Amino acid sequence: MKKTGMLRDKWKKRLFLDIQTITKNFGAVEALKSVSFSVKRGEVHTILGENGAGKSTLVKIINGEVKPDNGNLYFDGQQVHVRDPKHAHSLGISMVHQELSIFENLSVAENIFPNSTYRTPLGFIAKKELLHKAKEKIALFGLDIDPKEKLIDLSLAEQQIVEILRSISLDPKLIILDEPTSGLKRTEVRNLFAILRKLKEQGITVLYISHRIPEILEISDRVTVLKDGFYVDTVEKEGITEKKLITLMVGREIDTLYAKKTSDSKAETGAFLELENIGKRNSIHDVHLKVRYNEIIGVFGLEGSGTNELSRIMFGLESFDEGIFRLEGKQMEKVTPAELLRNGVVYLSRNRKEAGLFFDMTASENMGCPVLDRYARFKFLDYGKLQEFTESFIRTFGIVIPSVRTKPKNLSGGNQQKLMLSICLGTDPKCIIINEPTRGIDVGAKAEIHRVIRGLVESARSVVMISSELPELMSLCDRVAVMRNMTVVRELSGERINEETIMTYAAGGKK
Amino acid sequence: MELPKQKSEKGVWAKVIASLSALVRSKEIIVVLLVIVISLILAISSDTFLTTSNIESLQTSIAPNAIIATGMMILLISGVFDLSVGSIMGLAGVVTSHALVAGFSVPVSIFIGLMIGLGAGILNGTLIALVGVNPLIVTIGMMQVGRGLVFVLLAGTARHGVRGFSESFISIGAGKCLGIYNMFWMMLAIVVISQILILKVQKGRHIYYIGGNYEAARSVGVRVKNIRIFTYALSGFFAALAGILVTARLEMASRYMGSGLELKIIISCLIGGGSISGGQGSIIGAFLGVVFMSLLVNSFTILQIGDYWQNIIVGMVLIIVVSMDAYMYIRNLKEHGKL
Amino acid sequence: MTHAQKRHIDVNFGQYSIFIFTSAIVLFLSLTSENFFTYKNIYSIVFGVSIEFFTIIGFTLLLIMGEIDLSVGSVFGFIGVFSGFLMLVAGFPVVLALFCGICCAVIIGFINGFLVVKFRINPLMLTLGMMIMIRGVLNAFIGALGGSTYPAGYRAIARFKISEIHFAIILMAITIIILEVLLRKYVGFKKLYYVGENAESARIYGLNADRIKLLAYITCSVTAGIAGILAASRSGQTVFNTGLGLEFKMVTAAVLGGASLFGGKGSVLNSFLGLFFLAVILNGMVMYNVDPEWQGVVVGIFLIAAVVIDTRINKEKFEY
Repeated sequence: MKKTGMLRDKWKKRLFLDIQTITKNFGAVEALKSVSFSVKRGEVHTILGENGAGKSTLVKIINGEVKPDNGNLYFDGQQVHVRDPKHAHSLGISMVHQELSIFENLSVAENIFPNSTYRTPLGFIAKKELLHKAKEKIALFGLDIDPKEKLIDLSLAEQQIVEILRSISLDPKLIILDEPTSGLKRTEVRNLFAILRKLKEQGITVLYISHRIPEILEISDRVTVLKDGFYVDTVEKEGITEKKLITLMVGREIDTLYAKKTSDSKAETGAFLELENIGKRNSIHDVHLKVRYNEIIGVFGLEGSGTNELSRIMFGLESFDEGIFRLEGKQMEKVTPAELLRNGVVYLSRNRKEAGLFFDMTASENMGCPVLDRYARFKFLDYGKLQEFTESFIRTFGIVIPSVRTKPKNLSGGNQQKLMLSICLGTDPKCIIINEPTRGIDVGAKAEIHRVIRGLVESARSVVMISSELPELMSLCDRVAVMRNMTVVRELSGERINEETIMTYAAGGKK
Repeated sequence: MELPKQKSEKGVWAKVIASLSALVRSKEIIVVLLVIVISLILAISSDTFLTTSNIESLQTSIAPNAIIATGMMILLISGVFDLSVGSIMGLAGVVTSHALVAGFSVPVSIFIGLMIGLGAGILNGTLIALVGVNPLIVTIGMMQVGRGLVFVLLAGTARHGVRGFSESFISIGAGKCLGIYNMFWMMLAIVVISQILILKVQKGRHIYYIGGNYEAARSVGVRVKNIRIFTYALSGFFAALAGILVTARLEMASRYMGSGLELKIIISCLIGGGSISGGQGSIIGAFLGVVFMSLLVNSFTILQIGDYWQNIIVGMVLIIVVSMDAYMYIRNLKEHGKL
Repeated sequence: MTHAQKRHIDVNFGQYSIFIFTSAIVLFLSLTSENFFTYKNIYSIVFGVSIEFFTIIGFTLLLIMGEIDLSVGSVFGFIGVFSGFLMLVAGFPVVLALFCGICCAVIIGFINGFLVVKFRINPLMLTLGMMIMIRGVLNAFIGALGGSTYPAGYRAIARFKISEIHFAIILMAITIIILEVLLRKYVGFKKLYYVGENAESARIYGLNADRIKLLAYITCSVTAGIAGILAASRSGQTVFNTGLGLEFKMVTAAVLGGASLFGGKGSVLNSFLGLFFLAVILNGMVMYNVDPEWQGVVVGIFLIAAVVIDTRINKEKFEY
């Protein structure tokens, strides 16, 4: 009896962070489905998964930014309900987000200690002591940063380190790092890992989110894989291999919802749109991409790989510094949205709230925006014709909407997406660039949108589909371009379009 | 933990040189140079510049403006501004003078005036921090209301406003110590103390955090809303203080006191190193900016430039300063690869 | 309340409530004050509004785009005086002087628009600076003219009547009707709403916000200039402080009429109603023998109230 008691205590002590059946829904989207696993004290524990797997949501729950719908958290032997990040700090949990929260106009020392308590007898900030303490922390990791320097003069990697030091200065027991290596060079990544190892030496536990498998192989003690909000498995150090991780990330039951792509592609050999060696400072580089007539080409990449930047540059929303942009064989001098629209290219952004819909205007007004002149007689809008036009699309796509005067803000996500698709198709385009066509949309609407996309190619159009959902890409695309580290690493076609291969190029080390 | 050997205690000279080189690299150097240049020009081209009476009139224009600019600069550093300070100045002056005429003692009357300023500032701060209204429009509205109330309170009085205050009140504005106006000493004290507070006290530093990155400041535990309301209250308080001082010295409360002053103050702050985008600036810089503007206006009188030209030049200076501020901000973003 | 629910609240706040407010106040004053609802009084209110009205046309257009121009008051005053100056001192015939005045307005509008679009300068600060500068130039011209009276031709413009009704009022009515139709249906004007509602979306659908903004700034200064000419014509001589504070009245009236500082909303008809509402309020204050000094205060309070309501309803994030 006594022995089991002791064993149980010992086990409990080693269970530093215990996550039990955590569930979280955001409206219709199930972000986390009863996830359970545990983190050992003093280890570097990686959470791995593709976009939308639920990693960010999970750590935000641990950090108190999001409340779970269900489930329990046990931290350091006690059950906790983390109210907010401040509460998390007091518990000993600290997080460094992907977007840095730094103060560029202030010095390193002031960034590390925004609420310092080092005082002179008069009550003023003891600057010497502040600098000294900052230097101590910096030296602890063998770094060479001047605590007096302003953050704006440091590199991104150094800024990130400063933020990590800020988290450390709160004396946490657990530090969470969300995708810390996007934007870092190899040497900087190595420095970061040296810091993480030092943290381990000090007994601090690290929860590390990433999708970069080579790095994960280097730094992790254990790896937990999430997929579609589910917990898949936790792998011990000995069993961590690239193949194993990728299999865990993507292995799925064949989903009957997605019809398998028929093998004959209608694609012709000429290119409608061609990117040659396109690059932009601090963004994508050396991108080659051919969009052929009548084909659906997919673009896949994990966070930070440059897919969003590519789509924006492709539609002229951002300029590029080098390379050639060809449309129907001719080089385009000035690539602007207006010019592209005129040539039959349209763009559906991945965040319809920010761009793509006019939330506070009626559905017909939305539909009319890119084609104002076509529905005007002598420059005066013909609302009657516009209404018919809108209604025809509502019927075709089965948009659930009370009337053409309803505004998108009153529609569900799926219907908003359909409306945005209608606006773009209403221009009768030759090429459609879609960024994340079914993000945050329920299953039924997803299937309908896929049907539409497939139909586009039947009617002699080209589609560029940027998506982070592998099944979607697999079932629709003739070819898939995989991006990693801000460039296209590989184009896959035919049989090679399968999840393992795509993920290997996207997350793994293959060139 | 063995730290690398610190450089041995620097000699005094080394420290002086270090401070000077920091100054040269800072934004404040521009305004220092401007002040020196314009002083030299004035000293050379006119013999009335360095006379006692001119220096005195400079003091009385710099002092109240610098007090207001202190409040304004604090707001600018935290990323916002206050366009109602001119009206609050006028309003406090009028209210105090009415209180004196109504028989209240000097301290009580002054207290009432200061409370008016404080109250207006709190109202501004609350609307901006808690309701989230655009600071520009709120403070413009307050400016309207304030100026309107000034007219209401002075309705029926002659053009020059209220007159006839007691000696003790007048001495507050007109009194001197060691040949320099009391209000000037007061202003210096306010400037120095404020500068120390925002440089050396943690809560004071927080305005730089808020102005630099509002969201991040919130997430590290800076009490952003409280600080907003407090800084607007302070701005109102300082404006009221300045209004009372001017009223005392001029021995009258006039309708137009402070009219159009807010923009001159903002210009002074921008010249002195502040930025509309927030996160930068110092009280010393604001003080020097006020000195420059006062010298500029002084030059109008000395060099006999017409009234109308004053507005044109001031407006132009604002546009130039704002444009340069915007230009530097964008260039900064480009340099660091963010645009 | 969720975000979606919050936005439901603004169910046509601006469109119809200004009708209701105005009707309510008119009803109230008609019943309680015997001098209010007379032809003479209402006519004078409408006439007064018609003089300043044109300013709000361009101003509303800018607001719809999510921009603002605080120099309209100074431009209002300046163009009127400048045209008069050309007639009196330079001896220009009336029509030519007016033409030059309008050209001047075009230049000012162009400078505003150019600096905002190309250099991305904060429109609030920039137009504030313009306001001061132009006020200075205006005062210079007023000083040069002394208190001179304008030539008869100039003065006649405001006095011109068509069958007992002033030309200005008729012009205002026609303009309101035309612009209301244009804003609803004309392609060029529709684009303003798109850009104001969501500039990024507009960009994706090929709308060139920059050029439209520039045109809007020019229009704003021009309409302010036209109003200024009418005002100068009506007063017949140079008036000190003409147009002072006009911009704030414009913001108040437009926002009361349903325009939003955040763009995407507004119409000229509703802005007119906003102006009319303010004029009725001020007129009512006169009826009740309230000190004229209170007028500025009242407008200021309405401004703050209108903007607070606009923020609560239309702003996405409540953080400053």
